Amino acid sequence: MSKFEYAVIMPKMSMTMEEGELLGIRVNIGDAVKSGDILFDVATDKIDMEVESPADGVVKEIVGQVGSTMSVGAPVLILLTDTQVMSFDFNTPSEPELRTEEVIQPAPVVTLEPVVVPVVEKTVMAVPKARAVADKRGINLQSITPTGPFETITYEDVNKLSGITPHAASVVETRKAANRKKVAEALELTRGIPQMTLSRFSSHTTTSLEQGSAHLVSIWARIIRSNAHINVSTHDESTHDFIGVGLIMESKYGLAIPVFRDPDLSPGVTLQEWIQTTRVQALDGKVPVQMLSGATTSIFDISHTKISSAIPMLLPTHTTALSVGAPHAAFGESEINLTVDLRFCDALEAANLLDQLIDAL
Amino acid sequence: MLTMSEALREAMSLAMEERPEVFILGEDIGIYGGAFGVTGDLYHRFGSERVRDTPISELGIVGAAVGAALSGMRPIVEIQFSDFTAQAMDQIVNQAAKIHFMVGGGLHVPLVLRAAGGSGTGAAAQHSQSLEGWFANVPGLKVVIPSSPYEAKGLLLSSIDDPNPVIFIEHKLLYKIPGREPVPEGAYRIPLGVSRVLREGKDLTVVATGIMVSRAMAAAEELDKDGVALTVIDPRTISPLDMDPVYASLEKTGRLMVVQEAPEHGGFLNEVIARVATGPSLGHLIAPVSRLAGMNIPIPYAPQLEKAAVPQIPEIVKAAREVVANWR
Amino acid sequence: MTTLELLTGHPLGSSANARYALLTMSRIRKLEEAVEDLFGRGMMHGTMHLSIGQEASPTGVCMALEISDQITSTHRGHGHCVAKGADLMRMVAELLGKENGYCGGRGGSMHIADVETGNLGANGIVGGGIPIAIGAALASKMMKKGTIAVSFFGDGAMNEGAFHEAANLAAIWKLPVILVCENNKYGMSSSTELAFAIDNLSERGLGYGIPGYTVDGNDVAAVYEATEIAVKRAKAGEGPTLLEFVTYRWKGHSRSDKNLYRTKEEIDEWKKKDPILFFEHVVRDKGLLSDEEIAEVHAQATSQVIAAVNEAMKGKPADPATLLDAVFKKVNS
Repeated sequence: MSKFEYAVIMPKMSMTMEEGELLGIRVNIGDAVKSGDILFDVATDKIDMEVESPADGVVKEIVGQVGSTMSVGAPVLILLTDTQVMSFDFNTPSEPELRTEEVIQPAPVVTLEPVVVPVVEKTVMAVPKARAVADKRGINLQSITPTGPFETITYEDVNKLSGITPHAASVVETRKAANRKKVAEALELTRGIPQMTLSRFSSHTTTSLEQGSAHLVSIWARIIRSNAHINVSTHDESTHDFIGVGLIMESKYGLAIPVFRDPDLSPGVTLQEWIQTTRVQALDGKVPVQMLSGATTSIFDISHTKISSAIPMLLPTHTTALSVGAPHAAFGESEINLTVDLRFCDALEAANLLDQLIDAL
Repeated sequence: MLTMSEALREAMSLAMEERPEVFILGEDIGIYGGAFGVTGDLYHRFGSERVRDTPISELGIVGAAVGAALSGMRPIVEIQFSDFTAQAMDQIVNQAAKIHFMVGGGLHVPLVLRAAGGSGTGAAAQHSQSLEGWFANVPGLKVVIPSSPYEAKGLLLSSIDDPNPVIFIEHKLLYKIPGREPVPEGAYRIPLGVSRVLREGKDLTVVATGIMVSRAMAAAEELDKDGVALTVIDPRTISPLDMDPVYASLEKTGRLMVVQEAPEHGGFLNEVIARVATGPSLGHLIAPVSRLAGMNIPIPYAPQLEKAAVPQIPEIVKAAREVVANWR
Repeated sequence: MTTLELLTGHPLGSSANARYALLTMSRIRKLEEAVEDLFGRGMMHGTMHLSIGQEASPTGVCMALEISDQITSTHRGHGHCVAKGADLMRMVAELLGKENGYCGGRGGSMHIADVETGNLGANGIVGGGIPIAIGAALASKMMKKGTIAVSFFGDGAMNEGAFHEAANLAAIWKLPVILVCENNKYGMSSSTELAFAIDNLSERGLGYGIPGYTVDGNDVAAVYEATEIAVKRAKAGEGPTLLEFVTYRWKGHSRSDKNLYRTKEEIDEWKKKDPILFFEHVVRDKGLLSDEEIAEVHAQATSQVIAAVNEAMKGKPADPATLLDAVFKKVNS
């Protein structure tokens, strides 16, 4: 009794071969064969091959059909043999990643409708850095006259650009929108903070913008100085060793809140000039970097407008916010609103602060 | 001031004193002292086993060097003209470069192949080429081009130390010229894969290799008189290539020029341009890149033809002036 | 001299050595058959160059060498690798592209090297390994190691310039190297009758001042005997020897070979000179091994190969993530 059944398979004859044709079988069931005898013939598009018997044995079964196409590895016939033929049928599919040389099917021929090609604007020639700068500043390259070779916009051409051109106006708009978004995002952060607003009236507020809110800023700073527990940053509860008062004012790109440090320590005239200078800078979009942080309170001074009152909103890390409205047409008194962060200042304290302010004005 | 030949000789001498496994093989390097006099008296000092003359068999000797390197030696092969590396290509490209990778790391080839390249001696087309680009495009080889005696000694010592095959290309014209920088006595090493900024200037970044480094420096000095300020960078190792100083310089100058002797088409310094073009550095350019390279011709024989075939100092000056003037 | 004469009082004529020789040849045969099977099933990538029918040459040569002696091999190098002492599992793992293969999956069949057994690597370039072996011998001589180097190459390589240059260097420097030409009568498809104007390739040694011997490459004892002579010469500092082992490969050059350049009759004629069957006949005749012992050797080889394949299949496929790091050896490592 023969010891082994061995399946003689469709062999892989080249790197790309995946299947082959069984051309013919040269043996019949029951035939005795010797090692090396030709059992069957196979072919791919490139090669034909005679498949030999790996050992002496007897043909037990014929599996493949002559004329059919079979996959590499598929059994063609079964041999009974006493020899242990080196044969490994791991039943794993050939690793798909090996099939890098896929046969590419030719694309089907399609007749195309004639396409109307739209006239496209000629590309603007500009050196890479000019493009980068223009992109950043929102400048449209079409608006620049090139002075470089081959009518290319040079770096200098883009840098020369100053003043507001029709296209520069769009830059301001973009910045305003961005600014608005930033402020909105900041206020979103403080919405969840428990806060309370108290109001009082005062007849001693100025309506003149020329006075620059200096008086108000100075007094408020002094009051905070003598109520040190509210001069903290709510973010990490650290105390500042200065008083920072943010004053909301108009800027080139919307509203800005420059911070004045220890304004009560400056003589009145100096403070007025300081605030005035800052207003000019803000309108130019150039508030100095050191004035952009450090406040624990903000002042919204609309006393020179017609708005009677505005509830001030806490800015992130601030403990208090103050607003001063326009004087009443008849009574001449302005409504002053103070919003406090209840975690750092309770209602009684808030009332106290407001009293101090009114007294000081 | 030492010449490059002398500097190279010193390096090899120091290496052979330090390590008994270092030896040199090549044609006419023994008693003759080397076709360009580089090995000089090393034969008398170290003997015929370690300064080993060979028959004219580039393929055989490079192959022998590979086998010796695999077996614990550190051979330095001198190929008389870099053009003859073509004879040995199988052992350089298919064997030395790839053995470490192909066998999965168990073997390595600490081999230095020194070859004399470049034009200017009237040796004509088959003895004057600049072939570093070929080798730079073969992963597994390091390619080093010294530009002066100071560079040559330090780079050669580092190349001998390196456990990988290093192609070390010396320009013939530089052998007999004393350098501008003093060459320190004793051993010092210049690391492979580190570029050097030789001078800084705000108007143009020039990257140059081999003999073009000193030409670029001469051009820079000329341009200083007109207030045009060049930065000159010598990569020294072209593979692996250190681009950091180039990127840093482009931020300041915005203009790039590459200068090589090898023919323009497919030349190695295209890699420098490609790296700039495919990275964020592109945004710093305020001018198209300037490329000065050899003409796409075999090196001709007559002296005026030979000179015209590769970039010279006046050409570099003119091109630099133009790019700075036209692209502001 | 015939093998029968050689085996009388011959070192190979001991049962232990006979067993070892038979086992080695059988391991090579079984491994090649296994590779052929796996390749035929599409489980191995690329192509394979099988040495079935040529087992006696690597076996006889390596039996005359120490482990510290070095060899370089060819694209048809599985036999040399096994005979020099390789781990079958790691060979198969390499062919299957596994991480734990000899080359981490990066080299494949033609680039397997086994540093521990002195195998400096198979080579995909015809003649590529010859100058390298010369270099290894040069290093041995300069470092006074006392080892020798053997370069295996085929009849095709003898016409490469590399053979000429390397042979000359070996001769002028009297290097401890053996140049082993396995003449299997065909380059890829070009027969030696057409590629050479001489009959015995060993005659070429004369041109370099190297002694040359032509030997029946299918007689493992004759191969061993000739190698012993060359080893003695090398160790005595007398320089290189050129050995020509005449043999035959049963299978095509590689998988896609249709054998158009030779006849079935020729192949069948040579199959009758199967080195394994020949050696079995000899050792049986000389009473060195019995029928049972012979069968046992083959069974052992078979089970070793099967175990190696099964083990190798379990390995992890090589990972592309480590490729970039694999090009250079790290400095100071």
